[in-house]
Amino acid sequence: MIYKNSTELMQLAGYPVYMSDIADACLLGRLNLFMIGDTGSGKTQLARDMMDKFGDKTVYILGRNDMDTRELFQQINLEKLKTAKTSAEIKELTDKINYHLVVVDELPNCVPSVRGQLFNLFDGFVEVNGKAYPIGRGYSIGVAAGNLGQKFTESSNDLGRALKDRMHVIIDSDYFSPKPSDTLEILAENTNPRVNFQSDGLDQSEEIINKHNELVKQSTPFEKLVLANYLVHGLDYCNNGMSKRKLKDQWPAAITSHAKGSDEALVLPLSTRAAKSTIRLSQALDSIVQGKAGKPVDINLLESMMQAYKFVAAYSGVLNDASVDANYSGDKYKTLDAVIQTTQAQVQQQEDNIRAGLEMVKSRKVNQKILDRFTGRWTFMRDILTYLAQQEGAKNEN
Amino acid sequence: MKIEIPDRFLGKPIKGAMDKILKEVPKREKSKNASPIVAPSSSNLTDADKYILLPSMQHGNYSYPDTLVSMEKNHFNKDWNKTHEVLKKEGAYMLTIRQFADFLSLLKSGKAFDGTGKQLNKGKLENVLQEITEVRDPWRSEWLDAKFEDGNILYHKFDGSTKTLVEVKEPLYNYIKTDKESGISLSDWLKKANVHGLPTPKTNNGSLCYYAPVNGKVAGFYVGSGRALLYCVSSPANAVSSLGVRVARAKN
Repeated sequence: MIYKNSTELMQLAGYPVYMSDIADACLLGRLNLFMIGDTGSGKTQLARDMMDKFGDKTVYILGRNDMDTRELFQQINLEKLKTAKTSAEIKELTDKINYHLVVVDELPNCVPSVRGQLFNLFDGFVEVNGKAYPIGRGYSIGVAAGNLGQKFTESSNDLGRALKDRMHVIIDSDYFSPKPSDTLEILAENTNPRVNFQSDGLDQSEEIINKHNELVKQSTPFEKLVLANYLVHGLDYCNNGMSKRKLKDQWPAAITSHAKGSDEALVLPLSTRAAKSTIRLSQALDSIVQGKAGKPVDINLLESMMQAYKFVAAYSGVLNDASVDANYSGDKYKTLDAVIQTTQAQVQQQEDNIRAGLEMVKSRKVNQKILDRFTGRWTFMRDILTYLAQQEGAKNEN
Repeated sequence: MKIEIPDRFLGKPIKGAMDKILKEVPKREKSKNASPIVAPSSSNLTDADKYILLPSMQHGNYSYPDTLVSMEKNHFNKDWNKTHEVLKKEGAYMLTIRQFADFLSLLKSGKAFDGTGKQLNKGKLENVLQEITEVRDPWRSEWLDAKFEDGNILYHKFDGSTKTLVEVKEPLYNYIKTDKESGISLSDWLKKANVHGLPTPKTNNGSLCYYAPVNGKVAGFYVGSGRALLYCVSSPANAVSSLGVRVARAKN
């Protein structure tokens, strides 16, 4: 391992979490990772270190604007796809592909058709003649790097849209750049300016995949489900009764009065897909922190979810860029820290009500007075609690 | 997909939660000042020299930006809610108990600057401190931004980045829950105050009377010839000529 970065991205249960931990969490959670950063920020080396863990079950692709899909398929040993005539022949070829990790450097350089196939590879399949053929034997993940400038998240930008859809965690490696002491160590170790591509690690594929399978089997704590719902539905609510999603392009212009200065005009709700990524990243981070502790430790579920949210949401297109520029000097992470602070206060105000709601669910009887406690951006809890009470009732009848 | 209903939520048991909620006195659904307030720029203040700069501070999860606090009190004879309204119209706000405690500490330190950036001499700071805390006639009192409801404190947090002020409600914790008519030490209160600015149980005894938070009441700091009081049992409807507010504004 060559990548060195002791800059803390967060602390969970008193344990520091670094950039390499986020990378490990992505492997554990099978979350595609995109690292934004200037040349030399260490992102390629980190990706290279991730490859090291997968032995020969990994492929590295350097994005170029003159690369076509044929060349891409050659690189992943699928050059014979062109000659395959039947689905069975194609399947025979793709079955042989056993890449668990696909690393693409300078992804933004790739033309859209190549990018499309790369995103498919990240998700574990190849698309041929409109049909998907799986690769990676059930576990595949994509790690990409590149420098996209500031405007890529705009919806008018095709790459921005595709990234939001297919990359689950997007992180600015310049923002969390290594400390001077890390640089000192890196420089003292050797003066080779090239990325170290020499593999010296053990193939840990099986161990990683086993851990991933264990993580997937874990049930999600109820708290995380509620918080994810807040991010999907609570943040959709506007004080004047409107829905941000329904406002579409009218958001945030339609937010008026004092709400203009609140998070109503600052952040959009998460998509269900991004909420899933948030839960998965949170679960993976919890597991990594437990590993660091070497013993079971109490992790604050709210804190864990909020930190995961920060790294899923920052570049996912949910922030009002104009407001981020005007009020947070363009700093998306600082902006999300403010959103998180508001969210934590919101949860703190509602937690007694939620406990009462859960007790109501256990009693299997809907109590309107309890439901009425959930107003404004917490109205979504009425539907959840009613549904759960009905489910509990049905369970009892069975 | 079967969802297991937990016995605990965020570490606390759900058993008994319904009773607790249903027994609560019905509350207004939304705080009067719940919508965020856009704070104006302080750069156009023509009387910045009448303010003392309270530097930004972080206490646990509570923080505030550089704040200009007026040396003199204003808006006398107005009740707590009316005072908030008047301040809001001016783009100003009331000091929280935490800010007030930090402000007193700043005055005691003898080193502070006015709103123009000019360092204030110790004598000036001492005068402001005595005006607030010295036990003597006449009776002086000022509102503080804290309302108490069912074991919670309601106050306003200022977000320096969005320049907004939002009312928050947080559970009270780590504070003296009973009245201390015999008094607590003012300097020890300032040293050990909790995140909300309230005295913690470890505060030494002294001469500052302390009345612990009571449901439905608000906070103020009172001083007269007999004693000084940190008074968390004031009726928000009080309005007397000696009761005013120290205007606070976020500094740009």
